[in-house]
Amino acid sequence: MTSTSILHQTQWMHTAPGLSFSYQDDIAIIKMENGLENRINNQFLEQFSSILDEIEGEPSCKALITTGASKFYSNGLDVDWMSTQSAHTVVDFFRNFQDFLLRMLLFPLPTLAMINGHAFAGGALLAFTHDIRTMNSQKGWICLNEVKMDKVANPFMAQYVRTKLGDGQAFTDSLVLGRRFTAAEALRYHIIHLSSPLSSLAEESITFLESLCGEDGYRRSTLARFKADVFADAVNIYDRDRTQDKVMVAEQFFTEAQKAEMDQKGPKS
Amino acid sequence: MSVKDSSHLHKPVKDLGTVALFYAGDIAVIVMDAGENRMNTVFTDKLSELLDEVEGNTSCKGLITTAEGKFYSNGLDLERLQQYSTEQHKEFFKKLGALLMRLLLFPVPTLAAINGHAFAGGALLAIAHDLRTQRYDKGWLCFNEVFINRQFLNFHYPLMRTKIGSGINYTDAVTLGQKYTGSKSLEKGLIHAAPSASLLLPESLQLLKSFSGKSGYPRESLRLMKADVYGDVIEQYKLDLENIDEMVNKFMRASKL
Repeated sequence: MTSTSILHQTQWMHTAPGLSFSYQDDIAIIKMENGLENRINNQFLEQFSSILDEIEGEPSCKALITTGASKFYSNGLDVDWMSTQSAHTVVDFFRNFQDFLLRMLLFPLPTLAMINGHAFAGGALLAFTHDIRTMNSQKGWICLNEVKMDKVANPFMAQYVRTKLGDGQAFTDSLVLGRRFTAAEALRYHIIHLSSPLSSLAEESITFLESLCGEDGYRRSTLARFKADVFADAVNIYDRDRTQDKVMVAEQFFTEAQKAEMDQKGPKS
Repeated sequence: MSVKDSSHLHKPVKDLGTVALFYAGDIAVIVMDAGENRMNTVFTDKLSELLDEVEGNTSCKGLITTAEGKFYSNGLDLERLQQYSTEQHKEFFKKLGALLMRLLLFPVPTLAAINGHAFAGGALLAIAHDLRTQRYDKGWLCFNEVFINRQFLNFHYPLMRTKIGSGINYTDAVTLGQKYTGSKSLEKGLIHAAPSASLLLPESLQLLKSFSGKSGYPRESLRLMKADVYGDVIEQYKLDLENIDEMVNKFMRASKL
Protein backbone atom coordinates (compact mmCIF):
# COMPACT_ATOMS: atom_id res chain seq x y z
CA MET A 1 0.00 0.00 0.00
CA THR A 2 1.62 3.17 -1.13
CA SER A 3 -1.00 5.67 0.05
CA THR A 4 0.01 7.87 2.91
CA SER A 5 -1.84 7.46 6.17
CA ILE A 6 -4.14 10.45 5.81
CA LEU A 7 -5.03 9.70 2.21
CA HIS A 8 -5.67 6.08 3.12
CA GLN A 9 -8.48 7.15 5.42
CA THR A 10 -9.99 9.55 2.94
CA GLN A 11 -13.30 8.90 1.24
CA TRP A 12 -12.59 9.36 -2.45
CA MET A 13 -15.15 10.57 -4.95
CA HIS A 14 -14.27 8.84 -8.18
CA THR A 15 -15.41 11.22 -10.82
CA ALA A 16 -13.71 9.43 -13.67
CA PRO A 17 -11.38 6.50 -14.09
CA GLY A 18 -7.92 7.59 -13.00
CA LEU A 19 -8.91 10.80 -11.25
CA SER A 20 -10.52 11.16 -7.87
CA PHE A 21 -10.93 13.87 -5.36
CA SER A 22 -11.94 14.43 -1.82
CA TYR A 23 -11.96 16.99 0.94
CA GLN A 24 -9.72 16.71 3.97
CA ASP A 25 -11.18 19.30 6.31
CA ASP A 26 -11.44 22.23 3.89
CA ILE A 27 -8.62 21.14 1.63
CA ALA A 28 -9.45 19.63 -1.74
CA ILE A 29 -7.18 16.76 -2.72
CA ILE A 30 -7.01 15.51 -6.30
CA LYS A 31 -5.39 12.11 -6.72
CA MET A 32 -4.17 11.01 -10.13
CA GLU A 33 -4.01 7.28 -10.69
CA ASN A 34 -4.35 6.90 -14.44
CA GLY A 35 -2.29 3.86 -15.31
CA LEU A 36 1.14 3.90 -13.75
CA GLU A 37 2.31 7.20 -15.20
CA ASN A 38 -0.60 9.67 -15.09
CA ARG A 39 0.04 10.70 -18.66
CA ILE A 40 -1.73 13.83 -19.82
CA ASN A 41 -4.16 13.79 -22.74
CA ASN A 42 -7.43 15.53 -23.68
CA GLN A 43 -9.55 13.27 -21.49
CA PHE A 44 -7.29 13.94 -18.50
CA LEU A 45 -7.55 17.68 -19.06
CA GLU A 46 -11.34 17.58 -19.41
CA GLN A 47 -11.85 15.55 -16.27
CA PHE A 48 -9.33 17.50 -14.25
CA SER A 49 -10.91 20.77 -15.35
CA SER A 50 -14.39 19.70 -14.28
CA ILE A 51 -13.04 18.78 -10.86
CA LEU A 52 -11.45 22.23 -10.69
CA ASP A 53 -14.86 23.72 -11.56
CA GLU A 54 -16.42 21.85 -8.64
CA ILE A 55 -13.70 22.95 -6.26
CA GLU A 56 -13.97 26.56 -7.37
CA GLY A 57 -17.71 26.32 -6.83
CA GLU A 58 -17.33 25.11 -3.27
CA PRO A 59 -17.01 28.25 -1.11
CA SER A 60 -15.78 26.47 2.02
CA CYS A 61 -12.76 25.02 0.23
CA LYS A 62 -9.59 26.88 1.20
CA ALA A 63 -6.75 25.05 -0.59
CA LEU A 64 -5.95 22.44 -3.22
CA ILE A 65 -3.48 19.55 -3.14
CA THR A 66 -2.72 17.43 -6.19
CA THR A 67 -0.87 14.15 -5.99
CA GLY A 68 -0.37 10.85 -7.73
CA ALA A 69 -0.54 7.28 -6.55
CA SER A 70 2.40 4.91 -6.68
CA LYS A 71 5.55 5.53 -8.75
CA PHE A 72 4.67 8.72 -10.62
CA TYR A 73 3.28 12.14 -9.94
CA SER A 74 3.07 12.42 -13.72
CA ASN A 75 5.38 11.33 -16.50
CA GLY A 76 4.15 14.07 -18.82
CA LEU A 77 2.23 14.10 -22.06
CA ASP A 78 0.55 11.00 -23.46
CA VAL A 79 2.66 10.76 -26.60
CA ASP A 80 1.22 7.35 -27.50
CA TRP A 81 -2.28 8.78 -27.57
CA MET A 82 -1.09 11.86 -29.47
CA SER A 83 0.44 9.71 -32.20
CA THR A 84 -2.95 8.16 -32.97
CA GLN A 85 -4.82 11.45 -33.31
CA SER A 86 -5.24 13.84 -36.18
CA ALA A 87 -2.75 16.70 -36.41
CA HIS A 88 -5.62 19.09 -35.71
CA THR A 89 -6.39 17.29 -32.44
CA VAL A 90 -2.74 17.42 -31.40
CA VAL A 91 -2.57 21.18 -32.03
CA ASP A 92 -5.81 21.65 -30.10
CA PHE A 93 -4.48 19.50 -27.30
CA PHE A 94 -1.45 21.76 -26.89
CA ARG A 95 -3.72 24.79 -26.66
CA ASN A 96 -5.82 22.96 -24.06
CA PHE A 97 -2.71 21.97 -22.13
CA GLN A 98 -1.45 25.55 -22.09
CA ASP A 99 -4.87 26.82 -20.97
CA PHE A 100 -4.90 24.22 -18.22
CA LEU A 101 -1.44 25.19 -16.98
CA LEU A 102 -2.45 28.84 -16.93
CA ARG A 103 -5.57 28.02 -14.93
CA MET A 104 -3.53 26.09 -12.39
CA LEU A 105 -0.91 28.86 -12.24
CA LEU A 106 -3.56 31.47 -11.42
CA PHE A 107 -5.90 29.29 -9.36
CA PRO A 108 -7.76 31.35 -6.72
CA LEU A 109 -6.72 29.01 -3.91
CA PRO A 110 -3.26 28.16 -2.56
CA THR A 111 -2.11 25.06 -4.42
CA LEU A 112 0.32 22.33 -3.35
CA ALA A 113 1.81 19.64 -5.58
CA MET A 114 2.54 16.66 -3.39
CA ILE A 115 5.11 14.90 -5.55
CA ASN A 116 4.83 11.26 -4.53
CA GLY A 117 7.17 9.97 -7.25
CA HIS A 118 8.59 11.02 -10.61
CA ALA A 119 7.55 14.29 -12.19
CA PHE A 120 8.98 14.53 -15.70
CA ALA A 121 8.47 17.05 -18.50
CA GLY A 122 4.73 17.90 -18.66
CA GLY A 123 4.33 16.40 -15.20
CA ALA A 124 7.02 18.70 -13.85
CA LEU A 125 5.42 21.64 -15.67
CA LEU A 126 2.17 20.84 -13.87
CA ALA A 127 3.99 20.65 -10.51
CA PHE A 128 5.58 24.04 -11.18
CA THR A 129 2.22 25.75 -11.66
CA HIS A 130 1.47 25.11 -7.98
CA ASP A 131 2.35 27.57 -5.23
CA ILE A 132 4.05 24.92 -3.13
CA ARG A 133 5.86 21.69 -3.97
CA THR A 134 6.56 18.90 -1.54
CA MET A 135 8.37 15.70 -2.41
CA ASN A 136 8.79 12.10 -1.34
CA SER A 137 12.24 12.03 0.24
CA GLN A 138 12.67 8.35 -0.58
CA LYS A 139 11.84 8.13 -4.25
CA GLY A 140 11.33 10.09 -7.41
CA TRP A 141 12.91 12.82 -9.48
CA ILE A 142 11.63 16.14 -10.66
CA CYS A 143 12.96 16.96 -14.10
CA LEU A 144 12.26 19.20 -17.07
CA ASN A 145 13.86 16.94 -19.63
CA GLU A 146 12.46 18.56 -22.76
CA VAL A 147 15.92 19.52 -24.05
CA LYS A 148 17.05 15.89 -24.00
CA MET A 149 13.99 14.81 -25.95
CA ASP A 150 14.66 17.32 -28.69
CA LYS A 151 11.80 19.61 -27.70
CA VAL A 152 11.94 23.38 -27.59
CA ALA A 153 10.88 25.34 -24.56
CA ASN A 154 7.47 26.87 -24.83
CA PRO A 155 8.08 30.53 -23.90
CA PHE A 156 5.03 30.77 -21.61
CA MET A 157 6.08 27.72 -19.65
CA ALA A 158 9.75 28.74 -19.52
CA GLN A 159 8.76 32.09 -18.04
CA TYR A 160 6.62 30.81 -15.19
CA VAL A 161 9.25 28.19 -14.37
CA ARG A 162 11.80 31.01 -14.23
CA THR A 163 9.60 33.04 -11.89
CA LYS A 164 9.12 30.00 -9.65
CA LEU A 165 12.78 28.93 -9.59
CA GLY A 166 14.48 32.28 -9.85
CA ASP A 167 17.57 32.83 -11.94
CA GLY A 168 20.65 30.82 -11.08
CA GLN A 169 21.64 27.19 -11.18
CA ALA A 170 18.24 25.70 -10.35
CA PHE A 171 16.78 27.42 -13.41
CA THR A 172 19.66 27.11 -15.88
CA ASP A 173 20.48 23.51 -14.91
CA SER A 174 16.77 22.55 -15.12
CA LEU A 175 15.83 24.08 -18.42
CA VAL A 176 19.09 24.22 -20.39
CA LEU A 177 20.56 20.93 -19.21
CA GLY A 178 17.39 19.01 -18.25
CA ARG A 179 18.85 18.21 -14.88
CA ARG A 180 16.93 15.84 -12.64
CA PHE A 181 16.68 16.49 -8.92
CA THR A 182 16.07 14.12 -6.05
CA ALA A 183 14.02 15.47 -3.15
CA ALA A 184 17.20 16.34 -1.23
CA GLU A 185 18.64 18.23 -4.19
CA ALA A 186 15.32 19.90 -4.96
CA LEU A 187 15.17 21.10 -1.36
CA ARG A 188 18.72 22.43 -1.50
CA TYR A 189 17.94 24.39 -4.67
CA HIS A 190 14.65 25.72 -3.32
CA ILE A 191 12.66 23.92 -5.98
CA ILE A 192 10.46 22.43 -3.28
CA HIS A 193 9.41 23.57 0.17
CA LEU A 194 9.46 20.30 2.00
CA SER A 195 10.67 16.73 1.68
CA SER A 196 9.35 13.84 3.73
CA PRO A 197 9.10 10.04 3.66
CA LEU A 198 5.95 8.89 1.89
CA SER A 199 4.25 7.74 5.09
CA SER A 200 4.31 11.27 6.52
CA LEU A 201 4.30 13.35 3.33
CA ALA A 202 0.56 14.03 3.31
CA GLU A 203 0.42 14.99 6.96
CA GLU A 204 3.41 17.33 6.67
CA SER A 205 2.09 18.86 3.45
CA ILE A 206 -1.30 19.54 5.02
CA THR A 207 0.27 20.97 8.17
CA PHE A 208 2.45 23.27 6.07
CA LEU A 209 -0.49 24.37 3.94
CA GLU A 210 -2.61 25.08 7.00
CA SER A 211 0.16 27.10 8.62
CA LEU A 212 0.25 29.31 5.52
CA CYS A 213 -3.51 29.71 5.34
CA GLY A 214 -3.88 30.55 8.99
CA GLU A 215 -7.32 30.91 10.58
CA ASP A 216 -9.03 32.77 7.78
CA GLY A 217 -7.28 31.49 4.69
CA TYR A 218 -6.77 33.66 1.60
CA ARG A 219 -9.54 35.73 0.10
CA ARG A 220 -9.96 34.18 -3.33
CA SER A 221 -10.26 37.37 -5.36
CA THR A 222 -7.19 38.88 -3.71
CA LEU A 223 -5.09 35.78 -4.18
CA ALA A 224 -6.13 35.54 -7.82
CA ARG A 225 -5.13 39.17 -8.38
CA PHE A 226 -1.78 38.67 -6.68
CA LYS A 227 -1.00 35.62 -8.76
CA ALA A 228 -1.93 37.47 -11.94
CA ASP A 229 0.45 40.28 -10.95
CA VAL A 230 3.36 38.13 -9.79
CA PHE A 231 3.11 35.92 -12.87
CA ALA A 232 2.34 38.81 -15.24
CA ASP A 233 5.42 38.07 -17.38
CA ALA A 234 4.18 34.56 -18.07
CA VAL A 235 0.59 35.70 -18.56
CA ASN A 236 1.68 38.30 -21.11
CA ILE A 237 3.55 35.67 -23.08
CA TYR A 238 0.52 33.37 -22.89
CA ASP A 239 -1.74 36.14 -24.24
CA ARG A 240 0.70 37.05 -26.97
CA ASP A 241 1.11 33.45 -28.08
CA ARG A 242 -2.59 32.69 -27.89
CA THR A 243 -3.44 35.32 -30.45
CA GLN A 244 -0.84 33.99 -32.85
CA ASP A 245 -1.76 30.71 -34.42
CA LYS A 246 1.24 28.89 -33.08
CA VAL A 247 1.60 25.25 -33.88
CA MET A 248 5.34 25.23 -33.30
CA VAL A 249 5.36 23.22 -30.11
CA ALA A 250 2.76 20.71 -31.32
CA GLU A 251 4.71 20.18 -34.54
CA GLN A 252 7.63 18.68 -32.67
CA PHE A 253 5.43 15.74 -31.70
CA PHE A 254 3.96 15.12 -35.14
CA THR A 255 4.22 11.69 -36.72
CA GLU A 256 4.91 11.52 -40.45
CA ALA A 257 1.20 11.04 -41.05
CA GLN A 258 0.35 14.10 -39.01
CA LYS A 259 2.97 16.18 -40.83
CA ALA A 260 1.46 15.11 -44.15
CA GLU A 261 -2.01 15.97 -42.92
CA MET A 262 -0.81 19.41 -41.88
CA ASP A 263 0.87 20.05 -45.23
CA GLN A 264 -2.34 19.20 -47.04
CA LYS A 265 -4.74 21.15 -44.91
CA GLY A 266 -2.59 24.10 -43.91
CA PRO A 267 -2.17 25.43 -40.36
CA LYS A 268 -5.76 26.32 -39.58
CA SER A 269 -8.28 23.53 -40.01
CA MET B 1 50.35 18.92 -10.42
CA SER B 2 49.73 19.51 -14.08
CA VAL B 3 46.06 19.63 -14.98
CA LYS B 4 46.82 17.75 -18.18
CA ASP B 5 48.56 14.96 -16.28
CA SER B 6 45.62 14.61 -13.90
CA SER B 7 43.51 13.29 -16.77
CA HIS B 8 46.26 11.81 -18.94
CA LEU B 9 45.94 14.39 -21.68
CA HIS B 10 49.17 13.92 -23.60
CA LYS B 11 48.60 14.56 -27.27
CA PRO B 12 46.84 17.74 -28.26
CA VAL B 13 44.62 17.59 -31.32
CA LYS B 14 45.53 21.21 -31.97
CA ASP B 15 48.29 23.18 -30.25
CA LEU B 16 48.40 26.96 -30.69
CA GLY B 17 51.25 27.51 -28.24
CA THR B 18 49.48 29.46 -25.50
CA VAL B 19 46.39 27.27 -25.68
CA ALA B 20 45.75 23.72 -26.86
CA LEU B 21 42.85 21.37 -27.54
CA PHE B 22 42.75 17.83 -26.19
CA TYR B 23 40.09 15.14 -26.09
CA ALA B 24 39.22 12.98 -23.11
CA GLY B 25 37.02 10.46 -24.85
CA ASP B 26 34.32 12.53 -26.54
CA ILE B 27 34.80 15.54 -24.28
CA ALA B 28 36.91 18.39 -25.66
CA VAL B 29 39.32 19.96 -23.18
CA ILE B 30 40.83 23.35 -23.97
CA VAL B 31 43.87 24.05 -21.79
CA MET B 32 45.27 27.57 -21.54
CA ASP B 33 48.93 27.72 -20.63
CA ALA B 34 50.23 31.28 -20.79
CA GLY B 35 50.77 32.35 -17.19
CA GLU B 36 47.94 34.78 -16.43
CA ASN B 37 46.05 33.94 -19.66
CA ARG B 38 45.20 37.60 -20.15
CA MET B 39 42.69 38.49 -22.81
CA ASN B 40 43.62 40.39 -25.95
CA THR B 41 42.92 39.94 -29.66
CA VAL B 42 45.38 37.04 -29.99
CA PHE B 43 43.63 35.28 -27.12
CA THR B 44 40.18 35.65 -28.63
CA ASP B 45 41.39 34.57 -32.07
CA LYS B 46 43.05 31.42 -30.76
CA LEU B 47 40.14 30.41 -28.59
CA SER B 48 37.80 31.03 -31.50
CA GLU B 49 39.86 28.75 -33.71
CA LEU B 50 39.70 25.94 -31.17
CA LEU B 51 35.95 26.40 -30.72
CA ASP B 52 35.59 26.01 -34.50
CA GLU B 53 37.42 22.66 -34.20
CA VAL B 54 35.18 21.50 -31.38
CA GLU B 55 31.96 22.59 -33.06
CA GLY B 56 33.03 20.92 -36.28
CA ASN B 57 33.56 17.61 -34.50
CA THR B 58 30.05 16.19 -34.43
CA SER B 59 31.03 13.31 -32.16
CA CYS B 60 32.06 15.73 -29.44
CA LYS B 61 29.62 15.68 -26.51
CA GLY B 62 30.94 18.41 -24.23
CA LEU B 63 33.57 21.09 -23.72
CA ILE B 64 35.76 21.87 -20.72
CA THR B 65 38.00 24.91 -20.56
CA THR B 66 40.76 25.07 -17.99
CA ALA B 67 44.36 26.20 -17.56
CA GLU B 68 47.73 25.22 -16.13
CA GLY B 69 49.17 26.87 -13.07
CA LYS B 70 48.06 29.70 -10.83
CA PHE B 71 45.53 31.36 -13.12
CA TYR B 72 42.42 30.39 -15.03
CA SER B 73 42.49 33.92 -16.43
CA ASN B 74 43.39 37.21 -14.82
CA GLY B 75 41.12 39.16 -17.15
CA LEU B 76 41.85 41.73 -19.83
CA ASP B 77 45.39 42.38 -20.97
CA LEU B 78 45.28 45.99 -19.84
CA GLU B 79 48.97 46.54 -20.61
CA ARG B 80 48.52 45.42 -24.20
CA LEU B 81 45.24 47.26 -24.54
CA GLN B 82 47.04 50.50 -23.63
CA GLN B 83 48.89 50.12 -26.92
CA TYR B 84 45.73 49.53 -28.96
CA SER B 85 44.28 52.30 -31.08
CA THR B 86 40.59 53.15 -30.81
CA GLU B 87 39.91 50.92 -33.80
CA GLN B 88 41.82 48.06 -32.25
CA HIS B 89 39.91 48.52 -29.01
CA LYS B 90 36.69 48.30 -30.97
CA GLU B 91 37.81 45.16 -32.77
CA PHE B 92 38.87 43.58 -29.48
CA PHE B 93 35.60 44.28 -27.69
CA LYS B 94 33.61 42.95 -30.61
CA LYS B 95 35.67 39.77 -30.59
CA LEU B 96 35.47 39.35 -26.83
CA GLY B 97 31.71 39.91 -26.86
CA ALA B 98 31.33 37.41 -29.66
CA LEU B 99 33.44 34.88 -27.76
CA LEU B 100 31.38 35.20 -24.58
CA MET B 101 28.13 34.89 -26.50
CA ARG B 102 29.41 31.94 -28.47
CA LEU B 103 30.32 30.09 -25.30
CA LEU B 104 27.02 31.04 -23.69
CA LEU B 105 25.07 29.57 -26.59
CA PHE B 106 27.43 26.69 -27.48
CA PRO B 107 25.63 23.63 -28.89
CA VAL B 108 27.29 21.18 -26.48
CA PRO B 109 27.32 21.50 -22.67
CA THR B 110 30.27 23.57 -21.40
CA LEU B 111 32.20 23.52 -18.13
CA ALA B 112 34.84 25.92 -16.81
CA ALA B 113 37.26 24.05 -14.56
CA ILE B 114 38.70 26.93 -12.54
CA ASN B 115 42.20 25.82 -11.65
CA GLY B 116 43.31 29.11 -10.12
CA HIS B 117 42.47 32.81 -10.11
CA ALA B 118 39.61 33.94 -12.32
CA PHE B 119 39.40 37.73 -12.05
CA ALA B 120 37.22 40.21 -13.92
CA GLY B 121 37.16 39.18 -17.59
CA GLY B 122 38.36 35.74 -16.50
CA ALA B 123 35.38 35.41 -14.17
CA LEU B 124 33.09 36.49 -17.01
CA LEU B 125 34.59 33.85 -19.24
CA ALA B 126 33.90 31.23 -16.58
CA ILE B 127 30.35 32.42 -15.96
CA ALA B 128 29.49 32.11 -19.65
CA HIS B 129 29.80 28.31 -19.34
CA ASP B 130 26.90 26.01 -18.35
CA LEU B 131 28.80 24.54 -15.42
CA ARG B 132 31.71 25.58 -13.22
CA THR B 133 34.04 23.72 -10.93
CA GLN B 134 36.80 25.33 -8.90
CA ARG B 135 39.71 24.12 -6.81
CA TYR B 136 38.32 24.19 -3.29
CA ASP B 137 41.41 25.66 -1.66
CA LYS B 138 43.39 28.00 -3.90
CA GLY B 139 42.62 30.71 -6.37
CA TRP B 140 39.84 33.23 -6.28
CA LEU B 141 36.77 33.63 -8.44
CA CYS B 142 36.03 37.32 -8.43
CA PHE B 143 34.19 39.96 -10.46
CA ASN B 144 36.48 42.73 -9.27
CA GLU B 145 35.58 45.33 -11.88
CA VAL B 146 34.30 47.60 -9.12
CA PHE B 147 37.78 47.74 -7.56
CA ILE B 148 39.62 48.63 -10.73
CA ASN B 149 37.23 51.33 -11.90
CA ARG B 150 35.96 49.26 -14.76
CA GLN B 151 32.39 48.95 -15.84
CA PHE B 152 30.55 45.99 -17.18
CA LEU B 153 28.93 46.14 -20.56
CA ASN B 154 25.16 46.12 -20.39
CA PHE B 155 24.80 42.55 -21.61
CA HIS B 156 27.08 41.26 -18.86
CA TYR B 157 24.40 41.97 -16.26
CA PRO B 158 21.65 39.66 -17.53
CA LEU B 159 24.41 37.11 -18.22
CA MET B 160 25.70 37.15 -14.66
CA ARG B 161 22.26 37.40 -13.14
CA THR B 162 20.78 34.47 -15.06
CA LYS B 163 23.71 32.29 -14.03
CA ILE B 164 24.11 33.41 -10.42
CA GLY B 165 20.53 34.23 -9.53
CA SER B 166 19.37 37.62 -8.42
CA GLY B 167 19.54 38.27 -4.70
CA ILE B 168 22.36 38.53 -2.24
CA ASN B 169 24.79 36.22 -4.03
CA TYR B 170 24.51 38.32 -7.18
CA THR B 171 24.76 41.71 -5.53
CA ASP B 172 27.69 40.66 -3.32
CA ALA B 173 29.59 39.19 -6.25
CA VAL B 174 28.92 41.95 -8.78
CA THR B 175 28.46 45.25 -6.97
CA LEU B 176 30.82 44.50 -4.09
CA GLY B 177 33.33 42.40 -6.03
CA GLN B 178 33.61 39.74 -3.35
CA LYS B 179 36.21 37.08 -3.97
CA TYR B 180 35.67 33.40 -3.36
CA THR B 181 37.78 30.30 -3.09
CA GLY B 182 36.13 27.11 -4.27
CA SER B 183 34.36 26.14 -1.08
CA LYS B 184 32.86 29.64 -0.81
CA SER B 185 31.89 29.77 -4.49
CA LEU B 186 30.01 26.53 -3.98
CA GLU B 187 28.11 27.99 -1.04
CA LYS B 188 27.17 31.06 -3.10
CA GLY B 189 25.80 29.04 -6.00
CA LEU B 190 28.54 30.23 -8.37
CA ILE B 191 29.94 26.79 -9.12
CA HIS B 192 28.72 23.20 -9.10
CA ALA B 193 31.61 21.41 -7.38
CA ALA B 194 34.86 22.19 -5.55
CA PRO B 195 37.31 19.28 -5.80
CA SER B 196 40.97 19.20 -4.82
CA ALA B 197 43.54 20.30 -7.40
CA SER B 198 44.48 16.84 -8.61
CA LEU B 199 40.83 15.85 -8.94
CA LEU B 200 39.63 19.07 -10.60
CA LEU B 201 39.70 17.81 -14.16
CA PRO B 202 38.74 14.18 -13.48
CA GLU B 203 35.71 15.28 -11.45
CA SER B 204 34.82 17.91 -14.02
CA LEU B 205 34.75 15.23 -16.69
CA GLN B 206 32.52 13.08 -14.49
CA LEU B 207 30.21 15.99 -13.74
CA LEU B 208 29.84 16.93 -17.39
CA LYS B 209 29.13 13.33 -18.35
CA SER B 210 26.55 13.03 -15.58
CA PHE B 211 24.61 15.78 -17.35
CA SER B 212 25.05 14.72 -20.94
CA GLY B 213 24.67 10.99 -20.38
CA LYS B 214 25.62 8.39 -22.96
CA SER B 215 24.03 10.01 -25.97
CA GLY B 216 24.67 13.65 -25.12
CA TYR B 217 22.25 16.44 -26.00
CA PRO B 218 20.74 16.83 -29.46
CA ARG B 219 22.78 19.86 -30.59
CA GLU B 220 19.95 21.74 -32.24
CA SER B 221 17.74 21.24 -29.21
CA LEU B 222 20.41 22.53 -26.83
CA ARG B 223 21.23 25.45 -29.10
CA LEU B 224 17.57 26.54 -29.29
CA MET B 225 17.05 26.03 -25.57
CA LYS B 226 20.01 28.24 -24.71
CA ALA B 227 18.85 30.89 -27.16
CA ASP B 228 15.45 30.88 -25.42
CA VAL B 229 16.73 30.84 -21.84
CA TYR B 230 19.37 33.53 -22.52
CA GLY B 231 17.08 35.57 -24.75
CA ASP B 232 17.45 38.76 -22.73
CA VAL B 233 21.26 38.49 -22.86
CA ILE B 234 21.09 38.22 -26.65
CA GLU B 235 18.78 41.22 -26.90
CA GLN B 236 21.03 43.40 -24.75
CA TYR B 237 24.14 42.22 -26.58
CA LYS B 238 22.67 43.40 -29.88
CA LEU B 239 21.94 46.81 -28.34
CA ASP B 240 25.48 46.99 -26.94
CA LEU B 241 26.93 46.33 -30.39
CA GLU B 242 24.99 49.30 -31.71
CA ASN B 243 26.53 51.50 -29.02
CA ILE B 244 30.03 50.11 -29.22
CA ASP B 245 31.74 53.40 -30.00
CA GLU B 246 30.43 55.02 -26.85
CA MET B 247 31.42 51.98 -24.84
CA VAL B 248 34.97 51.92 -26.22
CA ASN B 249 35.42 55.60 -25.42
CA LYS B 250 34.29 55.01 -21.85
CA PHE B 251 36.74 52.15 -21.49
CA MET B 252 39.65 54.11 -22.89
CA ARG B 253 38.92 57.04 -20.58
CA ALA B 254 38.90 54.68 -17.60
CA SER B 255 42.28 53.29 -18.72
CA LYS B 256 43.76 56.76 -18.44
CA LEU B 257 42.68 57.22 -14.82
